[in-house]
Amino acid sequence: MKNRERRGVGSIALLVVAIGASTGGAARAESAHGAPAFGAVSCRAGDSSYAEIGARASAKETGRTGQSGSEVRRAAQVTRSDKADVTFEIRPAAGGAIELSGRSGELQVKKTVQSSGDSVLELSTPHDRVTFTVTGQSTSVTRGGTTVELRRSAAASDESDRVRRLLADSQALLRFRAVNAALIESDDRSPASLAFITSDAVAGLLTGDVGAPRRIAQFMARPGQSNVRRAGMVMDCYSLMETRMVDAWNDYMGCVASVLGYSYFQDLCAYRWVVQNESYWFNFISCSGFNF
Amino acid sequence: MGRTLAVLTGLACGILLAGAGVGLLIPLLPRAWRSEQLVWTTSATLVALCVGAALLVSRPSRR
Repeated sequence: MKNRERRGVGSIALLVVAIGASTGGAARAESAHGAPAFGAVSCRAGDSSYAEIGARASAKETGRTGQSGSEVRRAAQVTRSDKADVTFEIRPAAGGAIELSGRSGELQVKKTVQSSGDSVLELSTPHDRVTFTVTGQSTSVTRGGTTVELRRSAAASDESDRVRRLLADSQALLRFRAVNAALIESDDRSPASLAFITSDAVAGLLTGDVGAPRRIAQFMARPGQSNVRRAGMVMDCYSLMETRMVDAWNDYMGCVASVLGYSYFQDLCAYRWVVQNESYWFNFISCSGFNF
Repeated sequence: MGRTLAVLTGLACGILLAGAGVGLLIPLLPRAWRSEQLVWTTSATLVALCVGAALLVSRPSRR
């Protein structure tokens, strides 16, 4: 009985999606065709939960706009970093993706991150435009009609040299890296800022700054590391005493050997050993908790 | 009073002697035998012997 009900809901949802897709652009934004890039999560007829959510959202948006064919632009969350002079806008995009835009002077940045983790970063200034496409399989860089693709599976090739040459005189990339340097300098850890800084690691690596990912990883890990305190000594009390006492004994043997035949000096070696030894012994006692 | 002083002296001597004993024991024993328990046992034994000796020495005479 329950199965029959579920099947019934699924088919109704499919019908609503089909109607929505045929009536308006808003519905198209939620449908599988609305997000062609990277195979982002989208409404599938077989998946009743996605279909229902998609259908409800589509019906709502179509009703709100009141006209078919108009694109619904979702409300953005706007933040600003004054120190780095960047204004960020974050908004959900089609297919479960997140779209982040940023503007700093002439530089316009748009980063789209799919639910699968694939991302597209577009940097543009009035005279320059660079696009980075990062997927699980490859990283592509496009500038001025030229695209260079670096495949993960491919062996080391000269493609990375081509990427460096392609990006060498890019004003947009230079400006983007300067913005990120300012964001790191201002210690801005907002989600939008971190999304930019993460892309800076990729851009830095592709332009030959091989230390960029490590530096950025350290920047990101810094707040977590600041809460870490050492719980104990590097060496415990006993190990420390053992090491010192063995060293003292070796010193004593060396001392005795160096003054062989002079009993007075050998006694002095023994006194020194006793003083050292007692010092280590009382250190051990106080270290163990008996603080005399 | 005299006995307390003797016991305290015995205790101090025992602690000093334990330091020297441990300092001899650790370098001369094979590495596998060395342990913190051995150090504490040895030092406690030496201290106990010294305190016991102090008690015996300071016991009141029958005369």
